[in-house]
Amino acid sequence: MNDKHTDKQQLDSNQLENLFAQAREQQTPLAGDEFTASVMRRLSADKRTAILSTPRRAWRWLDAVGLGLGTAACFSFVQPTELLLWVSNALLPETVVISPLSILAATGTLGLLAISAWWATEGQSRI
Amino acid sequence: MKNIAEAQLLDRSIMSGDQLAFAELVKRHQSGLRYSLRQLTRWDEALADDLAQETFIRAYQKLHSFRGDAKFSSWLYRIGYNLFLQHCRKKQLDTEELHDERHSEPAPDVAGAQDTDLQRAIAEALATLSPEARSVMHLSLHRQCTQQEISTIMGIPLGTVKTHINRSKPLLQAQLGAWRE
Repeated sequence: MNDKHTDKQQLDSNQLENLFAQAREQQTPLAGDEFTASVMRRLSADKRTAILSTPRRAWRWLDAVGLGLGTAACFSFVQPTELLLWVSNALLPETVVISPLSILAATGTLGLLAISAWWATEGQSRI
Repeated sequence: MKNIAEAQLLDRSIMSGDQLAFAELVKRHQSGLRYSLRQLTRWDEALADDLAQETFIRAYQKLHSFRGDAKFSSWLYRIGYNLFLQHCRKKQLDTEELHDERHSEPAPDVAGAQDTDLQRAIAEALATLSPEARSVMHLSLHRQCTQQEISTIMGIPLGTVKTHINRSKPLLQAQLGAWRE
């Protein structure tokens, strides 16, 4: 046990570390149910976190039902081959013109996408 | 719930927002965090517990961003230390101001007078440092983190950690000189 002196002295490096070690050993556990309960009460009261606690898993089957209904409705109006042709015509242009402007536009778009992706990743990792 | 591994509790909290699993994580990590925050806040129990609560709430909100490349406790401490630093900036609590505010407060109710004296003496000595240096010294001397770990937890460069340690150690040695063996 350390003796507390009144005169001004200086600890050396080892003594300082030993003092912190002593404090660490004396550290009484602060685990209380009341603290946990108050955190959980605040989580439940917080709208942002209360949404997370709802059992979303139970409603996931609705996604599959919606997908099935949407697909059936789509194919009831359009033939599958026609739909494919229509999509490919819309996506693939008949002629491709490579001009400085198009290269500039493509580079700019790619650059913007890369910056957005980097920004999103940084935002996620930041606390 | 008590026997479930931490990784499993984290999975359940992240994947389905299971608050019971998160409550178990709070139970397991609260003691270390609350103790650390008490040491940083000059043993202000109410403030430390408020910050600890806020830490767990922020952690729950940000669980999806926990990537598991660091220990959960380190990630938690990082949030806690950031909140502590934010609190200091918000209240503009420099060490002098803190000293004036708390000087006349009665000793906190902690079992063991000698233990309390030492804990308070360390907290008082740490309070003479800037909030960032205080956190560095706490992590280094109390939590026994490596300089690299401190740098990761606090999100500051390794060189800054070294500077804080080199500058603050002599100050703490002088401050705690009365506790010489």
